[in-house]
This record gives sequence, structure tokens and C-alpha cells, in this order.
Amino acid sequence: MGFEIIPGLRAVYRIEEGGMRKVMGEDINVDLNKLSAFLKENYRIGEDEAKKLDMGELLGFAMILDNLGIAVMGNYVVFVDAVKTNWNKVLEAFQGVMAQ
Amino acid sequence: MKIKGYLGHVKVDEKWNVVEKVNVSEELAGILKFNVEKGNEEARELGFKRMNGFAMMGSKKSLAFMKGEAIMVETSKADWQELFVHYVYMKGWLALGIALLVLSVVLYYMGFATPYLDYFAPLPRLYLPTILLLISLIMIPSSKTRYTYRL
Repeated sequence: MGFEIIPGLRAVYRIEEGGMRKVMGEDINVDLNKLSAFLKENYRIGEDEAKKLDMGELLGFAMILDNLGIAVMGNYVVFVDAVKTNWNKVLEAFQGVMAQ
Repeated sequence: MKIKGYLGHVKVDEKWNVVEKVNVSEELAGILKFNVEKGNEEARELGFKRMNGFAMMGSKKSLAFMKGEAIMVETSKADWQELFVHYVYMKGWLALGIALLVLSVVLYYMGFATPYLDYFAPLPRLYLPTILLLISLIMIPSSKTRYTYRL
């Protein structure tokens, strides 16, 4: 899959029509419907903000809630332990998966 | 503080007043405030305490925000680990290490270049500062710890 290289990886989900489906890893104990709605909304907001700030096209974003890192790119949502992970590896894994 | 691909940054206080702004758009602070307030709200709705930081990656530039400071970098040059996590020094440990290092140099000097320590046998004059030197050389690098979130 490509996401295995991430240290502190907890789970990978995919955003689909009806919500989020787990691809690998543990069950993340949050309201996934709420989360996917937030993530979609944040993506739209982020796209606007990226334009305003001359950042180019928005490729993805990440947020850290308490110690849970949530990274979103393409249709994938990666959950990591924000303290144990290496964010370069998170990005590398995303790029690897996107290139497939 | 040298950050790979650094373009600019903005620092804000708790009330979102801009404290420092280098080479970033006027709009950035307002955008940050909006995102953080929204992120905190989302965090609480999902059962977390707060959003500790966020990052946005654009095709040209990227942005990372944590602890009142946002950094804008060139996407192609960004080191994401560096943006999120940084090294801190345990100051007391570092100070003690440096003090021991200085002491050992002084003892070397006194032991070999001055007559002050002639009362001691020649070998202890060598051993003591060498031990201090070794301890200090272990202490100084180990005072660098990881994983304090930057920004």
C-alpha cells in the first residue's frame, strides 16, 4: 500500500460517497461522519485560503487534535500519533500512493 | 533559526494581535484566527480538547501553524518534520555540561602550565580533568531533546 513506512501510523481511511472506509490500521474512535464532513469543509476552505495566500493549488492539509495527527490528501485520510510520527515520511507515503 | 524553504512568518499573541510579521500577506493573521477557531470547535465536537496545530500544502507554497506562529515555506524545499517538531535544549543540563567543560580546561591548564596543582601527583592531575571532560562531552549533546512541538 505504501503507508506502512510511516512511524506512529494508526490508521488509513478513504473518503467515499457515503462517509469514510477503513483501508488499514486500527479503528479510530471518533464520529467518522462528523469528521468526514469537517474534512471536506476544511478542504474547501483551504482551497480558497490557498488562493488568497498565493500558495498555488491546495494539495492537502493536516491538523493535530490533541496528540492525533490527521493528514488529508487526495481521498486518503491518514491518522498518526503526532508525537511518534515523522511528517516527512507521511508526505513521502502520500506521494508514493498518489503516484500508483 | 534556519528553516528549509523559508519564505516568511507571522507571530500572534493570545488575543490574535500580530507581534511579528515578515514577508507574508496582511490577510494571513485573519485566516489563521479563523482556521484555529474553527479547528478548535471541530476538535471539541469530535471529543478532543483542542487543535494543536495545522498545516496546508499548496502546489507552490505551504503553511504550518503551531503555538501562535505560522511559517510559510516553498513546498518543493519544505522539511515537514522540521516544521512540526523542533529540538530544544534542557538549559540546566546544557549549562552544567558547559561549566564542567570549562572547569576541566581550567584544571588541565592549572595542572600542566602552572605550579598551583603541584601538590597533587601528576597522574591525578590528568585524570580529574579528563573525567570532567568526558562527563561534559556526554552532557552537552544529551541536553538536546526532541519532540517539543514547534511554533
